[in-house]
Order: sequence, then C-alpha cells, then structure tokens
Amino acid sequence: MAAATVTCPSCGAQSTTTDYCDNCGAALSQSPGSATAAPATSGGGPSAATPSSSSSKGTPAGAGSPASVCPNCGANRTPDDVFCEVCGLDFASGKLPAAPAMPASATTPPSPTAVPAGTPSGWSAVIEADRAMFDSNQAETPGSTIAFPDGVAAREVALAGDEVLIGRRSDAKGLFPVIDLGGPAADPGVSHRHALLRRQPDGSWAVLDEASSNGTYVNDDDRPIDHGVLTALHDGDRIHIGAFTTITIRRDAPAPAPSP
Amino acid sequence: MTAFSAAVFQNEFMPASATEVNAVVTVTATGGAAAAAPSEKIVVLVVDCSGSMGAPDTKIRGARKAAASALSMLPDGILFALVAGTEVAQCVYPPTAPRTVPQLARADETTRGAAIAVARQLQSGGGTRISSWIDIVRVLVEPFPQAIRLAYLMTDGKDEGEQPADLMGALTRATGAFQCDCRGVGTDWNVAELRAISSALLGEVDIIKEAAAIEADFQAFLERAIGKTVAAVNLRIWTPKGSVVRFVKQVAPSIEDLTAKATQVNDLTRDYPTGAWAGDESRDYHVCVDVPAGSVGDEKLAARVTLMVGDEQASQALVRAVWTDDDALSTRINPQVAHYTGQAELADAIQEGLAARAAGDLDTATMKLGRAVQLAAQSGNDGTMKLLRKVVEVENEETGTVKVKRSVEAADEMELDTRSTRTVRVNKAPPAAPAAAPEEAK
Repeated sequence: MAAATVTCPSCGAQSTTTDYCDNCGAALSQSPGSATAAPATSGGGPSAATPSSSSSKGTPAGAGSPASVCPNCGANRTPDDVFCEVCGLDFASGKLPAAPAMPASATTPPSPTAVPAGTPSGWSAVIEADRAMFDSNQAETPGSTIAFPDGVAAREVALAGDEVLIGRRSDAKGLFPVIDLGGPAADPGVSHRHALLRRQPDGSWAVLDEASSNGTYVNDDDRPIDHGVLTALHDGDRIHIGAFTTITIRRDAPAPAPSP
Repeated sequence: MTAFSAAVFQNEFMPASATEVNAVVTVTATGGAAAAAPSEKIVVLVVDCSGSMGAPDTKIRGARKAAASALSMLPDGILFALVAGTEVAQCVYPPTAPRTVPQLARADETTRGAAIAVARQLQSGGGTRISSWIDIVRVLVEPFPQAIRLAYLMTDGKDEGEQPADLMGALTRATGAFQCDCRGVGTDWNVAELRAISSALLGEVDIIKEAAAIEADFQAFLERAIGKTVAAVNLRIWTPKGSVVRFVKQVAPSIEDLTAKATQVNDLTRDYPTGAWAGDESRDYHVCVDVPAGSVGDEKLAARVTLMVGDEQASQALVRAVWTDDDALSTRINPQVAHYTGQAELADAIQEGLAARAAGDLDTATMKLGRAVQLAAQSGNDGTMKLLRKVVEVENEETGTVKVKRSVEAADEMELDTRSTRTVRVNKAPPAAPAAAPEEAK
C-alpha cells in the first residue's frame, strides 16, 4: 500500500483511503461518478430510471450480475421472473402495476347496506358488551390484557334473510359481517368469521359455530357448541362469544313474518 | 484456498436530516475444499455425566454410544479430548497425569481406540456446574491460539450449584478461546442458559428430544467441524467520526447479535467476531449505523466493512448514505433489509410469546405467536412455521389469527424456542403479494 494521503475537502483530515474520507466518510472527488451525480438525476427523473445506475454502485464487490436486480427497486430477481416480486415492475414492458386497485374493499358498501337481502323475520338480536361475562372470563385468565369497553350501549339488529354472519370485519378479506364485533365495543376474542345464525324452516333461528378460535357458547353452558352442529335458539337465548360479547335473541312481540 | 467475497444490499438514499443507515452485507466463502494450508483443528467433546443423566439411564447410555461413535469418526491428525462434566470437569481422555494440566491427544488408531473405551465407561453421578466445564476446555485449547477450536457441550439439566455470575465469568474468560455448540437433551434443561453459552461462544444451541438422537447430532457436528477451513474471521467495521453503531447482527443462517462482542481497533473501527468458516459458507449481516445528518446532495460512507482473516484483508464492502429530496428514492425500503428486520421480529415474537405463555398471559401469547405465524408465512420460513404449528392452531396465516393450544409437549415448545432464531434468505420467500398485482388488476 502506498502511503499517499488525500486531504478531505469536507473535514480537512488527511485520509489514507481515496474513495471516501477515512475520518468523516465524505465522498472524495477522485471517486468516479459519485456524490453530485446521483442527486442531480434523482431530483426530477422518473423513479424507474434513476436508481438503477446508482444502486449498482452500491454493491461493489461481486453483488452478482447486473441483470439479477430489478431496475426499479433494486430487488433481486431470477431470470425466470416476469414481474418484480417486490415492486411489481413488468420486466418486459417496463411498466409498474397500476395504483393498488382494491376490488373487495373499494366496491363493498359499508356493512349496514350489505344486509338488504331478505325480509324481516320477526326476530332480532341484541348485542352488548357483557360485564359479568367479562369478569368471569378475567377470573379464568388472570393477566389478560383485554380491556372492557365501558359505556357502550347495547344495539339491536333485526334478523333478516336466511343467514346472518357474526364476526369481525376485515377489509383485507372483504368480510363485513352483519353482526360486526369489530366496530364500537370491538371484541378481540371474536374471530373474523365466528358464527352463523341460520333461519329454520319453522321461522325460528339456530346458531352454527364457524370454526371460531375461541368458541361459541349458548346460555349458561360451560362447553362451547360443537362445530358444524346447529343449535336451535329460543326467545331470550343468549350467545356468548369472544371476551365479553353477549348476543340475546328476541322474538318480536307479534310474529307476522312466516305465516302468509 | 478459501476466498471471501462481500456484497452490500441497501437503499442508500435518505431524506434530508435522516441519520439511520441500514444495510445487509452478504459474506460468501468459496473454494474451501482445496485449502492450501489447513489449520490445526481441535474438537473437545463435553458430556454431562451428572446424576440426572442416569435417570432414565437411556440418557447416559445414549451419551456413551454417541461419544464412542463420534470419537470413532475423528480423522487422523485432529487434536481432541473427552470431558466428563459434573460439579467438576474431568478430562477423561487423554488421562491427565498427576500434577499436570490436562492436555489434548492427537487422533490416530491407538488414541481413538483408547478414547472409545473410556467413553463406553462413562458413569453418571454428581451435580452440574457448567462453569467448570467451560474452564477446562479453555485450558485444553489455550496452547493452540492459531487452531480452529470447537467444542460440543451436551447436557440434560440446568446449571446448578453455582451462581449465574460464576457461569458468566467462565464465559468471559473463554470468549475468543473456542467456539461451543450446546445441546440440551430431553426437557429438563434451560433454553436461555444454553443459549447464553452458545451465543457467547459463537456456537449454536439446539434440542435433542430423544436420547437416541444424540449420536446422529454428534456426527453432524463433527462433519461441520471437519468442514471448517478458516479459523477466526472478523468483520472489521469502520464508521465515520460522530457516528454510532446501533447494531451488527448476523441474520442468516440464524440471528446472532454481535454488537456487544466488538473489540475496538481504533477510534472509528471495531472488530466483530464471526468464528470459524467452512469453505462453502454464506452468511448475512445486518449493519445499522447512525451517521451525522448530511444535506441534500451529500454522499458519505456510512460503513466500510472489511473481512479480516487473521491480519489479512479478505474482502471489502461499502455501505453508503446519499441524501436526497426525492421521496420516491428515500422512502423505498430495501427488500433484504425489510426481510431480515422481519426475521428478527419473528424470533423476538416467538420468544416473547412463549415467555408470556409460560407466565400464564394467554392474550399476549396469542398476539405474539399470531404475529410470528404471520411473519413466518410472509417470509416463507417453513421450518419455523412447522414448529409454530405444534404450539398454536393457525386459523389464518395471513392475518396471524391463532389459538394457543391448551396442551403442548414441553419438547415442542423448547424446540420452537431454540430454533426461533433460524432465518431464511430473502429469495426463498414465496412470491410476495405485489407480484400478483398485475394479474388481479385485470
């Protein structure tokens, strides 16, 4: 190694390395095509063009052949890749995918309007955050970090159509249950697809657990209902799900719906 | 002759006033098989012979068989010793002459045969004081500072009869003297304890669920040991004046934080030990440095990573910082950096989730292990996913919705814990979601 040093224009130190200052790290002017070039092009040009030139400099020591990197984002690619797995660039056309089109969430109306199918059945469900249930669950799992949502009023949903899903909304899955425990008084113990209320031929309703994580309980039974078995519901029956949610099934005073 | 190469993966573009620079450095060794000047190689087998190894006695019998089998595989010329560990450590082969320090034997027909005979006679009885085991290995290898020095420590129980500080003291004395893989047999040992030992001594920790599997694991260790061709490789990292190294971690094949293991070379340069290398190995390192903020248009070197084999420079890689006002450049996250940040979070989520489960906090356990499932699925870490599935019921990988199983085999839980730091490389990941976007957008 020659003992030649370079004076750093940035900090004034005598640097023994000639590419970058060995004191402050500033790029030294001898360095081919460094510092000033990169930001100048990066200022205005389309992002697809600029980084390819500079990111290849960033991998000086055997980073692989230039063709193995996406020209847009610098991600590794194999020769077989048609699209970049990271940014989605089409290697053939050089086009980036259109701005994320989210077919499910963009077109799905908010949950209340998703219900219209079916006529009212003459039954309804009252959904409430149940303090007693919460306390009892807390006693079983000390150290739980779930908090009880104080001051959230019970709400009532008219049961309509043949099936009513109980769950927790998920934009990612395009899932918007009619009885949604993801909104106010969100219950983290409720699965996205938790249980299904299904209308019976006689006009009453039954509940079916949809392989939920934490099970579906009816009234005071300690055991969750079995997956795949319809459990008939009567006026006043209570369904317990998640950490604190109780859903009471009510038959509205006169039961006009199924008769005519 | 083993040659090294280093490559950097980073997004060097930073917004004005940003200071944190992240890069993944891939180090690859090639051509090791034909090593011109093979280093002297030392293998020390440390076998737990405490009383618990006799209950059930399949354990001590498994250990005897495994030790005998491993010793029979030692190639001629290698230096070796067999240590029996209880509340004291005894070098049972070669036998120690009265009033002398224990010494290594050189493998040949005679010494192998004698050592195997001793291994078959190993008896269980006594306590477990691991600091004494570490100390005796250090004494054994000390006369050979240039050699590739490896130990294999196998135990079935916890370190007892001493304070944690005693073990830490032994580890401090042994740091840099040898590398040590640790194996826990059964489920009565402590993962954190063996991880602390293997981590301090640049080795790996793993579980051996059944005594019958000791032999195969022992052999695999020996094969890896024989494959090592370069003794002590350091990552020498220079960073500019005024900078702070946030961390230097090995991130593949497994996560190992090297930050605290650094030794200062000069004001701006530190050496991070990486231990011995085989001739066909590749490892990834995540380097994170805080540099003094530059102004738009500045380019600085954030780190110069030099691979040192002894005092020789083997390869070099440059981590740069370029400040720009183009958000399109500076907001991009390098896929390698993102991937390994996720793998590190995966290991943390598993360890925290298991700790919460052990403490009876099922909500935290569910949340953390759910996150782990999500990260393992995203990164294509199938090995970890398989282990996670033994501990949780997975409802949805994508969202990380899981249910913690009520009853889990202790061995499965410990296996998940010990292997939580194993990572996959970025190109092993399944096609990420955006790759499918052009299809879906139709």
